Amino acid sequence: MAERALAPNAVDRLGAALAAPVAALEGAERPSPSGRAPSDLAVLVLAGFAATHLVGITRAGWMLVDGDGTGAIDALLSQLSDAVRAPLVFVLGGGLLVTLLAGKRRAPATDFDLACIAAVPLAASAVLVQLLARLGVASTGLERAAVALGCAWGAVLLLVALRQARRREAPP
Amino acid sequence: MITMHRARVAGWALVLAIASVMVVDLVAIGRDCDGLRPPRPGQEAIDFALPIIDARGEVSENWASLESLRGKPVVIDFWATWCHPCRQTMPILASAVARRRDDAVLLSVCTDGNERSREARRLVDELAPGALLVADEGDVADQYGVSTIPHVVVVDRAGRVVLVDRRTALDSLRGTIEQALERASAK
Repeated sequence: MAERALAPNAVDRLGAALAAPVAALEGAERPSPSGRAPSDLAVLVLAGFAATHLVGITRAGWMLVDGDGTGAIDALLSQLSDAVRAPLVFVLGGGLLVTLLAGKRRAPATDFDLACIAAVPLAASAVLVQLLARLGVASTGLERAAVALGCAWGAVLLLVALRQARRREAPP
Repeated sequence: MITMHRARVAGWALVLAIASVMVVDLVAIGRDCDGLRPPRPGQEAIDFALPIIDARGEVSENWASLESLRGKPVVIDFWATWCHPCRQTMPILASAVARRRDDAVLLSVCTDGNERSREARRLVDELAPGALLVADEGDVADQYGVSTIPHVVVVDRAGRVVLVDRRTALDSLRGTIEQALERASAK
């Protein structure tokens, strides 16, 4: 019941990573919702990519129409790699850090789940920056501030994740 | 329970943000979908204006526009300082333009934007002296459908695209550009 209440669907789990991160991180340690954090993060990053790169995707579509299939694929992959790079680096680096610093209490699969939850603010900040740009209130400074906030927020969550990992029961 | 409520609100706020961005872009695309089509040979080149990187490597307050070059054949070279293949194509483009001995212009568009302008100037001075060097933050490259660099566009005197070249092998690039310049000059 507690698990159901904490994370019934991806929207709630992503929201929990933003608004109730301690509960979200604790949820990743439980058997039932465990392992969903990577797919939740992937959904967020891909939905964010589709929403924020519609213009680029349309351009790639035109290239395909004009018979430049390779160019279209190049354009799509280039944009996708730009969108995925930061969260991926964060998850790999963060997951490795938590695993290494958790000592004997490490549980690599769960540690990378925790890093995925910690990466949600970073992915959300990318969407926020694009929303601000569409609203006409974006500036380079504001953009950098939003990204810095996302990174700082993610870093704090990684520290909470590390603390949580170090509190696990040590293996016999 | 309060935690659950907070999480749900935050989650739906995130969904709303994503949906809002998508709707705004869909409306913009719906208004001018054709305008997003990268220029093809035979079509009018998209006009743009970009700041010139001066002889000291500073991004100056002087701008160069494609419109201002109307009446001259223009070779637009999209490149970046980190791109090694671009360094191989630059001398080929420069010599193809120089060999014509007419009013053809090599417009060197550095897609690193305002950063690394000194490095861009040094490379152009070394590899394509005489090129008009401008800085692009990526907007113009996006308009021209630049997904890989080097990306070369040849524009004729009337402002129409003669050639879009993304991946011609180096050994045949000179011939391709010279032929395109021939057509661009004739029109």
